Amino acid sequence: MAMNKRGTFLVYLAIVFIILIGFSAIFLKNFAIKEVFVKVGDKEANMLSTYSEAEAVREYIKQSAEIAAAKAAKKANIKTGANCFADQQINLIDLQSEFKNYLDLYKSPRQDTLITLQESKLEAFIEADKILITGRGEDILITSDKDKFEYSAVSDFKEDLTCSEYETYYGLLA
Amino acid sequence: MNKRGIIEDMVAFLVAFVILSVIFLVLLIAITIPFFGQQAELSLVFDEDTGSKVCQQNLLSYLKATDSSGREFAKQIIFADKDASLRENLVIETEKFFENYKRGIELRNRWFIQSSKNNVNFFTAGELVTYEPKDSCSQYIPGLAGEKILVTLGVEY
Repeated sequence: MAMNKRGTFLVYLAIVFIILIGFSAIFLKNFAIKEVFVKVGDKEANMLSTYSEAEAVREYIKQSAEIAAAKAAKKANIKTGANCFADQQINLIDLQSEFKNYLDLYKSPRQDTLITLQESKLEAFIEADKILITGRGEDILITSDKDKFEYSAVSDFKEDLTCSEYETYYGLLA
Repeated sequence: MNKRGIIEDMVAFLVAFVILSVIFLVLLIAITIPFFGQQAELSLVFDEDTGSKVCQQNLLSYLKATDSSGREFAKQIIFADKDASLRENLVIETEKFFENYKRGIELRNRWFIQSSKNNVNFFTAGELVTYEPKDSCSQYIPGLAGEKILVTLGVEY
């Protein structure tokens, strides 16, 4: 049955009202305060973490090498004084063994970060007033399951043990 | 329906279409401009908001820095572990370091540093007594007896 003019107009009016209500709902929803959280800086923060870890491990390794050299020198009966290392030798096996003990002890104080230290090959160059220790090894691997990153840091280093430092070590080493 | 009725229906449809289009346009503008609809509040959350990475850098800088005798603080702590007479001087030097240490905008208010071996403290410095775990950081250094020493820095930002 065909609708008359008023009937047709009412249908259109109803459609207009429905759409108006719909748009009003969208408008009201949009009017409500929205809070959007955007997390930024994950990668940058991870990069800083690995940088700090790498620096921290390298410091530990360098200090370990110096203590290992002092222990090896004391074991070799080297006395203190000026030019204390002139015409002296240290046992490289003692040096490497002490150094390895320290590396085996190391772990990151941050529980979510794992440090994998590879074996470093140490070399000691003895001069009259110091021992120059160089370390060369596979890269240090720094990983974190929590933050999902993996990073390699170069493990090469150089460290000096001077006669004045050896004197302090000598007095304190048992 | 006669011819006139069809035309009237078409006109009514067109009128409704035009009204709807105008309403749609008005609402679209109302939604878009901030005057009618408040914009979303955007909060940027930085991944690192605990300060611990700043603390970590601060601690590393301390351990690598040299005191007035030219010796690194890390070494001084290693020696102070075995020689108690060095600890008093280490406290003075540490306080001097933290007094002078500045990187960019100075955010640190108070600090506290502690060195322990086998969970026994042998050296403490700084005025901060308690600190939030998130504002503290630690680092191991090797000890002379073949063990490791834990150095902890607590900071109040």
